[in-house]
Amino acid sequence: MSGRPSATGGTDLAHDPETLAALLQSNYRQVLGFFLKLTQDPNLAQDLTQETMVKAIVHINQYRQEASFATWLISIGANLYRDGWRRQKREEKQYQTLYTAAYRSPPPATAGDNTIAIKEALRQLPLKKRTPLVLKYYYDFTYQEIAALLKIPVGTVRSRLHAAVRELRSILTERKEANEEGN
Amino acid sequence: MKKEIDFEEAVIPIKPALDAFNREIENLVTATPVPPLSSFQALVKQARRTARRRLILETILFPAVALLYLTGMGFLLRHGYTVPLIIFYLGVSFFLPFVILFAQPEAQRRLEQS
Repeated sequence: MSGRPSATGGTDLAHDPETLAALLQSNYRQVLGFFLKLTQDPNLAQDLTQETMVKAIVHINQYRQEASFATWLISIGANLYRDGWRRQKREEKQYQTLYTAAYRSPPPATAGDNTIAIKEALRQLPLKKRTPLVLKYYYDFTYQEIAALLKIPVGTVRSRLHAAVRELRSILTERKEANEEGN
Repeated sequence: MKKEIDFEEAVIPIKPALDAFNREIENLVTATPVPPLSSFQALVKQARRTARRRLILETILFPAVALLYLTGMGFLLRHGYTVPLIIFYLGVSFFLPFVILFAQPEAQRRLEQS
């Protein structure tokens, strides 16, 4: 688990472009990592990171410094990705094609079996379940924070997380059984 | 999964796989070069300039559109289109609530499906 990223100082970022640029640079990898976990597509992740940075610059007045800057950026990123659902839907179709292609071809020798299976399983998870799982597991957001971020009730967050974990477990078990049968 | 602790318990069987995925992503992220500070400075400058331009444009556009609208209304009223205008606005006031009511859940449903 990555955990919560570090907090910023008490500077007024709206009037300090130099510090803001430095802060964006230092949090670049955190945001990129978040999008890579969510999309598994380096190019799309980089595009979304850039978009998140631009949105953060424009809305820097809304940053209250209650959470760390990276957490705030990740919140913006999660919203950005959620709001761009049309593009996402297109991407999902592309991923589906990629997934099919990956499934037909042998897995890369460098990646562990665990990683291949979880990547496929995560790709199969719908965005509405994948996003809370990534936020909860990798970034330690609370149910309330995820609910506020995704604009859904806390109960829905719970049920989506529950469904996400159940689906991942089922996919991984199926794959494990298929591998054992193959051997 | 009522408490957060339940999530921690439920995720235990898939924890090794999730952690392995995290390590792979972290390795990929570490291998990705971070753009130089100058590009972030340029991004800040560019984004602020664009936001400022948009703000100015919106500030000018709002009164311009309002003025155009009022002028159009005045023109139509002066040329004897009072009854068609009343019919138009009655139609709008009748159909708009339905548009608002049904367009929102549809957008929400599409979002949920994604």
